[in-house]
Amino acid sequence: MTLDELRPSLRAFLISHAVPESQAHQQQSEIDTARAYQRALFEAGLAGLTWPSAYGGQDLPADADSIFEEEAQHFELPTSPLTLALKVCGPAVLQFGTSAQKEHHLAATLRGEELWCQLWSEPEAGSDLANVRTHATSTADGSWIVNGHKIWTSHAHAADYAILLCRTDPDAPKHRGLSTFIVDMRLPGITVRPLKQMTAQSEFNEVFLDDVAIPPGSLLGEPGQGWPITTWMMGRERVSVGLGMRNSQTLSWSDVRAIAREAHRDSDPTVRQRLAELYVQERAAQLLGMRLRQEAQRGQGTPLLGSAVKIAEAALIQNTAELALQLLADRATAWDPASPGANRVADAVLMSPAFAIGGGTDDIQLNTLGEHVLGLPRDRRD
Amino acid sequence: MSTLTESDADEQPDLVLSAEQSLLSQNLRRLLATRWDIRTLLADSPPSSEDRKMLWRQLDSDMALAGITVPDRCSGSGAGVSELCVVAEAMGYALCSAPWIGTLGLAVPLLSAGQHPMTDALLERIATEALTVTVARSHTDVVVDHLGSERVTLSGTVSRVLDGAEADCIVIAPEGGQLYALETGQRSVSCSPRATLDLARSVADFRLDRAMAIPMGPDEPHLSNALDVARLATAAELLGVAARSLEIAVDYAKQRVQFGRLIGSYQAVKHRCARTLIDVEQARSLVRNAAWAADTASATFPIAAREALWFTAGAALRATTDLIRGLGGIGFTWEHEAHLYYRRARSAAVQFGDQVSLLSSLSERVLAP
Repeated sequence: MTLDELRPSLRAFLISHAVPESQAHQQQSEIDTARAYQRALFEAGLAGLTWPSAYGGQDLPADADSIFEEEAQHFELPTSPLTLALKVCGPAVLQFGTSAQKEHHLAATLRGEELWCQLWSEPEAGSDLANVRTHATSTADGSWIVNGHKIWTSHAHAADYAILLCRTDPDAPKHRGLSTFIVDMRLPGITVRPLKQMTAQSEFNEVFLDDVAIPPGSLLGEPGQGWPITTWMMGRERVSVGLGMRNSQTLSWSDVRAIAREAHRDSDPTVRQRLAELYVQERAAQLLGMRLRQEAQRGQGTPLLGSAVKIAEAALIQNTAELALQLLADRATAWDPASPGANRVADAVLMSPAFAIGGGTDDIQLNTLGEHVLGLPRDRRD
Repeated sequence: MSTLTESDADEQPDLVLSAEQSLLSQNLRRLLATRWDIRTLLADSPPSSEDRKMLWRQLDSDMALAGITVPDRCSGSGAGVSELCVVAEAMGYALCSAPWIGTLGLAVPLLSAGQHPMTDALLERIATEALTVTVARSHTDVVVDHLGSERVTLSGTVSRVLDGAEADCIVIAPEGGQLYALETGQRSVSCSPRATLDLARSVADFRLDRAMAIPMGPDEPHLSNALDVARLATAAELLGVAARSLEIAVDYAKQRVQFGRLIGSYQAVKHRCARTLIDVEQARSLVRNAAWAADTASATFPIAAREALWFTAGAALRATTDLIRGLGGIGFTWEHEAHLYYRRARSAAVQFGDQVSLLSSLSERVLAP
């Protein structure tokens, strides 16, 4: 397939498989839908546009991703549970994995068969992620025994595989004693306990690792390379964040405009002003994300500016939900449970704070921007 | 393959500068660093109008700046709005007092929209002689006497003309009417510069007493498009202002020590700078998007120009205020250049529509049924 052929194929695929943005509604079995969609995308020869064909990709140049974005912008894609797999973990295996690991995982990931999670945060290692205490000890046969406690792990309850960050050299300095592993989430000794979120749903989990025996060949990269691989993954996470952060639970500016009309408040000058401000805020956040992705595709720019997109998107998501709440007023805070979609604004309001926390809090992202983009001196910390 | 191919409406804006545009930006910044010293604005005798006009001619002879956006047919370089924005950003960054915005931001976009022999002749002189031209908009109270079809005389007052004190020629463009070109060197034209908040840009009033002028055809619908280009050029210069303000604040935070530590290590200071960075990078994206919309003649341009200006002006207002706060007492002194950026941010933020009017205009456009 050439780039010229890509656009019509994509468009035809999206029309038959994706939900137009205007008709998007909350998915009941989000993960099953995501897997089925991804499988269909793979079968249509449109998955992994820029991944090597040896691993199920389409071998297209970086522009293919822009074409995908252009064509997908009017659809609500159901792939949010697979975002980590497709945008972060898969690319990490491609970048750092052995050929056996690539053969085992990449095509399967593109087919939607492998849902991935990141076993990163711990009770004592949140923003200070390099402080992880989960440790892996090597054994004579080349396998590793892992013990520890992970937390805030999105999709761990449904994940097939994880990339685990843990300590392999307790004597090395904090950032140098870490390694990353590919872990089959069905291994004995792994216990996943869902955490009930403030939304009353459970999307993230605690994961207990008790004498988990990870087979030989599971190390991703070299021993001691865990921190650089993790920061590489964080960069990927931020760059893809503008695409992956919105989901069926967040609201867009067009949603709020529609709410203003339905509530007959769109001729109020103050409402119009708030809507115009929100419009520009949405454009500013989206265009920044688009610009950074275009720069990354051309091998230019500052990948760490992804933190700026994340902060801007998180603020936008919160402000959008807040304005929707004000416009719908007490119809947003008390609704008929039998009326489908009546809880949409309440859901968005409840979901919003997550975006300023997950993937690194705003406060930490501001440190990243200050220290690594602007070159300001580090704060006092070990 | 499917036949679904028409996709122009979905085309993504190109938000990355080309290699040539990046080179233009670097070369102009380097040139301004050698030809222009912002500190002259703080001297007892700051650059006069004549000095500013000479600086513009110098920059033009160095880099053919005056004709950069003039069409090829009029001996210009035929560059687009994207290049105009690169120039505007560099000028805002350096706070250069050369009168570029009248010529590049207003006159060239207005004059090059139509193809009248008289406007082409004026464009030719901009490109070849670095003639300084500006546009007087609605602030006119002028009586026209016709002396045949080619010549008229104008009498009355023209107020608040941007870059007026350095203008060789003013294009008078009353809304919905006829354009006139008026040379300011005539004895029948008297120019009174206003006192200005912005120390790097002139605004002047003119008194016309039967001044000779050349009619150049009706301005509609070009004036509103030219004003949108001027809005975008203003957004780009405010992007330069915000970016430079951030840079000064960051440099200071890297060398000022209090309580035994560099102040930039404190999160109160670091996070303030990081928030300005987020503003600046979003503003940059909006400016590039609007420039792309202009250069591809996209119907989205009027909204894109307004959203870029509204956001970027806000970013520059905040960045310059935060700069002065970050500097402490030194930031409030005459000697520090921070107030020059603070002044420019406020003056430019209202020169083609204040923040409130812009937002009203945006709400009309984006909330239209």
